[in-house]
Amino acid sequence: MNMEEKRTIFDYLAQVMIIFGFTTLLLNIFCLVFGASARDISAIFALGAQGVPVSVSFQFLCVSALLTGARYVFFTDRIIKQMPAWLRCICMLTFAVIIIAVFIILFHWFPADMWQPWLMFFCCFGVSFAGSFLFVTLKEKTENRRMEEALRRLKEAGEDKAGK
Amino acid sequence: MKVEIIVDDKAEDLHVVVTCKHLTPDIEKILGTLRMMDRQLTAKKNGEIYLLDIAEVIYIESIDRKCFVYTSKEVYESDFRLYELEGQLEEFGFLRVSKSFLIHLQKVQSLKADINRRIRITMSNGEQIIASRQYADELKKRLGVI
Repeated sequence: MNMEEKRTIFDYLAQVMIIFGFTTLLLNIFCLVFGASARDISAIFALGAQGVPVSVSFQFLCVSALLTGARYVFFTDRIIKQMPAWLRCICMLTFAVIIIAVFIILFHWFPADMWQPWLMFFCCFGVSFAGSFLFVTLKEKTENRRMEEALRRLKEAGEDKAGK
Repeated sequence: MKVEIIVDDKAEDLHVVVTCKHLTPDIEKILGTLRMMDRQLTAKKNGEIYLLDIAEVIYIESIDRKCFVYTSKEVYESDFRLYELEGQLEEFGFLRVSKSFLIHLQKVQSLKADINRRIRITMSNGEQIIASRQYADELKKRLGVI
């Protein structure tokens, strides 16, 4: 069944740029704060407080493109109908962690043999994911309750109308 | 085509007479529109024309410019385009929820908000329909939740 919204390459690129722009902004802030002290151990901070190197920017652009692609796959109507939201979130999260971990190791974003950066990475990722998941879940629950109530009222009004 | 309208204050009911050499798809459409005033939808199945009670229709789906009318037991085909049915059936509680679906709100079993501002609609026959973002807001407005 074809009920998908029509999406163009520009919608996809817009999403990629949103993720990329936000990540780049955060990274440049981190560079200003930690850049000088972390320049010797991380490729991301190789330029110290001057900002993110061009090569790292392109790596982050690749990650943004891959994550947006995954988002498109996990949120197609076919998948929405077959998988509950929580399972899609877990799949998306697992995919994101794997992709980022591969990039960390491949491009030496930080030394893979140090546990402290991994811990920071998982903590940051976990906190931001848990926060957004909680927010979305609460919003959905409220919305569902309101919609069910409104649907019940609409049906009752319809039955009354039919009865008359 | 000659159109004759007789306004008679003694007339008890609306009486429409169509005189033609033979039925054409255009005339069928005009008749279909008139029948909708009587809460009936003209649809075809295996070459036969059926008059469906609009209340029986669960949803209408457009596939490759053809419209299929789903009731709890059967699937029929309509000569109307989805946008035409949308305009004509709106007053009977139908709502467009995506590019290819028109649903009967009275036949909605449950609604569930999904990620990305979409809504998963379960119809009374168990079929699941996803309201796309652009139509989800319209659905919420119709329900009175925004």
